[in-house]
Amino acid sequence: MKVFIGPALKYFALFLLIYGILTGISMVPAVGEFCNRIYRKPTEPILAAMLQKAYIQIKADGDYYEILRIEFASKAQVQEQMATAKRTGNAMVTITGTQNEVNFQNLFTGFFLFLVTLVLLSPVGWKQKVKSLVIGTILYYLFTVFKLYLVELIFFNEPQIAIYQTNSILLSIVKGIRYCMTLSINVLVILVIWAALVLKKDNWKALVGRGGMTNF
Amino acid sequence: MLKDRHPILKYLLGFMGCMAVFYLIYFSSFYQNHFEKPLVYGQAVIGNLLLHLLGHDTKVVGSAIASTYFSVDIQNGCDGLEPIAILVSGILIYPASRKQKVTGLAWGIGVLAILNLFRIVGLYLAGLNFSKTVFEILHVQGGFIVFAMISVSLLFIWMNWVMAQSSKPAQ
Repeated sequence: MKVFIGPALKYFALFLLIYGILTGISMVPAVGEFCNRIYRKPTEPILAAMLQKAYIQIKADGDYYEILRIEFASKAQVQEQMATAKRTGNAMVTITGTQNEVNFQNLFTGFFLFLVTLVLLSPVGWKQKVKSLVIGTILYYLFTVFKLYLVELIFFNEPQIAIYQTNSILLSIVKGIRYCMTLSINVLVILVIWAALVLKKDNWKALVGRGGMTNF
Repeated sequence: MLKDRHPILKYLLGFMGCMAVFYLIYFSSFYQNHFEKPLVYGQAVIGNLLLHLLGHDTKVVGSAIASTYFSVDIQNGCDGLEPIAILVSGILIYPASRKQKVTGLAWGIGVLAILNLFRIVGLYLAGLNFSKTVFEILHVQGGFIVFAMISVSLLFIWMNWVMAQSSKPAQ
């Protein structure tokens, strides 16, 4: 049995080392802020397109790069306020928005780095690694955007916010899906993406047989 | 390209099917009403025992291990069942004999269950001694990602063992 455990332990130790280093780097404020900014840039218009009844802005929470602050306001309410202002001759309109916060580290960074580590340790060439990483990142990113969409849709259906009044059956389904999208599901999604992109008939035995050791 | 991946994709589909069945049970009210509380309570009791052995004056409050200084609440997701399900799914759908599967399941589940107890104790100690940020990183990164990797590594060890057994000449 020792002959099987040794390589697996080496693989696991290497995983811990690379994942630890990457996590450490991601915690450097400049790097964390950069990741947060890169994530927010495409996400804001995508979410806005998916939730068209609201004005949405995604910001970092000051210096806290591990937080995504999602600010929003009902388009209908804003238009109503603007119409009222126009009628009363007010030049200025005060728009009251609301916000909620999402832990960016738990949503994206931690699991993205998990994918990076798995791909780096895979027994495939660098070209395949880069390709897998690009496709994997896009797939996982889309998964997280979908998760954000569900979170916001549920939030927008709260009675005190009421930007959306989704059909109750549909809303129950949305809440059910959201309830199941735990952190462990993120892990599972990453594992499936990695296996689907990297493993082939001729390389998986190399991965398993050598306890995961790679030409890294 | 698909032909190249056919067995892997088939395995992955089977794996996801098994995980879907697991989650159907795991998120069901039947499981949550009848099994979840006794399981996390049991883990809290054993975790508390281990902490007493290390000289900490902790006590079990519901599903939490608490002291005057810090408490850690074992919730759904911290029970170690999801990494166990990854291992079990991986073993169940892998082409191996029943005896090999039973051996893998017994060892794998045993190791992961014990390690999860140490993880709970470790998280209590981390929360007691380090900042909230460190605790959160160890909780999420250590708790979910690293623990899932332990499960995957155990699966690799078992697969490797099965392949070696299959390649042995018949006696």
